[in-house]
Amino acid sequence: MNKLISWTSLLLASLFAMQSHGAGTSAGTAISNQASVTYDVGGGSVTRTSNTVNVTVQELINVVISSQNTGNVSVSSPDTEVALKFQISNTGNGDEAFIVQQVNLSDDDFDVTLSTIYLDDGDGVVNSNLDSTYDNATSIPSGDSITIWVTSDIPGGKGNNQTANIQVSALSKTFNDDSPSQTNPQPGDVVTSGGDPANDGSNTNTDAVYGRSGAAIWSATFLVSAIEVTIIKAIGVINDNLGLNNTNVSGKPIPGADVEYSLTVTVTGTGDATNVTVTDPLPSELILKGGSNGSIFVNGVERTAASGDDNASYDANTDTITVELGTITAGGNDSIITFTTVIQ
Amino acid sequence: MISFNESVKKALLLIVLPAISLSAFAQVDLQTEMYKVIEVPVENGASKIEWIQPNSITPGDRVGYRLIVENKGDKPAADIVLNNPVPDNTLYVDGSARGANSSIVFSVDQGKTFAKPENLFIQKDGKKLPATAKDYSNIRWILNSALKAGEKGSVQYVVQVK
Repeated sequence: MNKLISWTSLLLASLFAMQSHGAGTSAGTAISNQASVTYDVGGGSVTRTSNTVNVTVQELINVVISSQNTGNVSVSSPDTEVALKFQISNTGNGDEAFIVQQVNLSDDDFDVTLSTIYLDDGDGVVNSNLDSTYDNATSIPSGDSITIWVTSDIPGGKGNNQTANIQVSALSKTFNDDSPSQTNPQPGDVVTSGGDPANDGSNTNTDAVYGRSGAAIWSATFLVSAIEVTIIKAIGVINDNLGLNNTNVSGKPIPGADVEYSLTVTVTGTGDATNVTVTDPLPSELILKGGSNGSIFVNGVERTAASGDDNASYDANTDTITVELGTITAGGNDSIITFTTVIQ
Repeated sequence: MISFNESVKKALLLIVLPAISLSAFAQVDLQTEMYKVIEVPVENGASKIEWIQPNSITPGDRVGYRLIVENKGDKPAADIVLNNPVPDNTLYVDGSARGANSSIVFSVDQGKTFAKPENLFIQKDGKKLPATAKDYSNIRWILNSALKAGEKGSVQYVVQVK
């Protein structure tokens, strides 16, 4: 099962776009300064200029990671490629690639396995066939963002409410690739000539300088909420009552015909689903056969349509069938509800 | 063959001659120095400002400029005015311009007019608003007295890299 947690909030997206800007003067820009002086030594005003001082703006490495996954992320156990969506914004002043890593944190119940990190192809939907695997080397222009999907495999056998804490980080590739690798750089640390080319005619690269947000971290919690209740409705026998002894079990759905329905309730995952209640509001063309005196079968056992005496009832006013199945343990037998209606 | 001493003399002559002609022409000399301005923590959570070599300048960093004016001539130089446009891609840091015995004025129109900060205004959305430090395009120091022969003085200011 591929659970995807997507977010399409335009407002938030535009907020992050705004954050991404303001990366400052581009790496490599030369800042030049020349002063002048005017004076008079008796022969009139003279103007002279000073020497010119130049400084080239170096590349500042800054990154912001953002995600809508602020709370617990519900997963099943087991589950594959549970995808969390992240936006990685290069808030530095030069082009930079970022290495994305996911680690398991402690103080939780289990660890997950990092599966694949996908680079979104632009549609904002994770798709293992269309999205390419993120190569940890995609250069992000200053002020731009990329969208990635970090997918994890959830181990089996984990009970309801068990949690796994993870941390996703984006690290500067320049600092990682430095020799020796700078895996824990501090603001102000430098990779000499690791930055973008200088635009000062020197044919050199700027230095890469680790910024105050040189690495970005996002924490998330996977919560096993193993219970998934599915319900399938199917049409069974149609008896148009036109045959011998008013029986024709392969009849046509015509007015007066009996139509049998079945509702199959399946609980998957692990743990117990409590207070499972099935309601089926019938279309106005159908009523329960026998109305308030009719029958509803739950797992083959006949229940009355009256309310209050058992776990099944039919409300003629709202034309609705209600069956209270109570607690169902995941993985157990399906619950099957059958009843017969009459076409009006 | 030219001896070592002769060659040195010739070289010295070549260097000294242009230097003399320049200084005769250059009555007043102006030098610009550039520094990185950093805040260094000291005891009790306080900090002090230091001007250091301008290495690894990145956006947000502060750059300090010191203008050193020297009268290398033999006559006093009067009406000394120092001008410096705020460099591109930087913003003037409010209150950072210093200069002993000088009055400091600023421009918000690329040096066409100068005034004290309280008399500077900008137009924004059709409204006249008081200018702020980030609006300053030029700085001007007007020295209040003449610089005597051989005298030296300096002024300074700080910008922040955008």
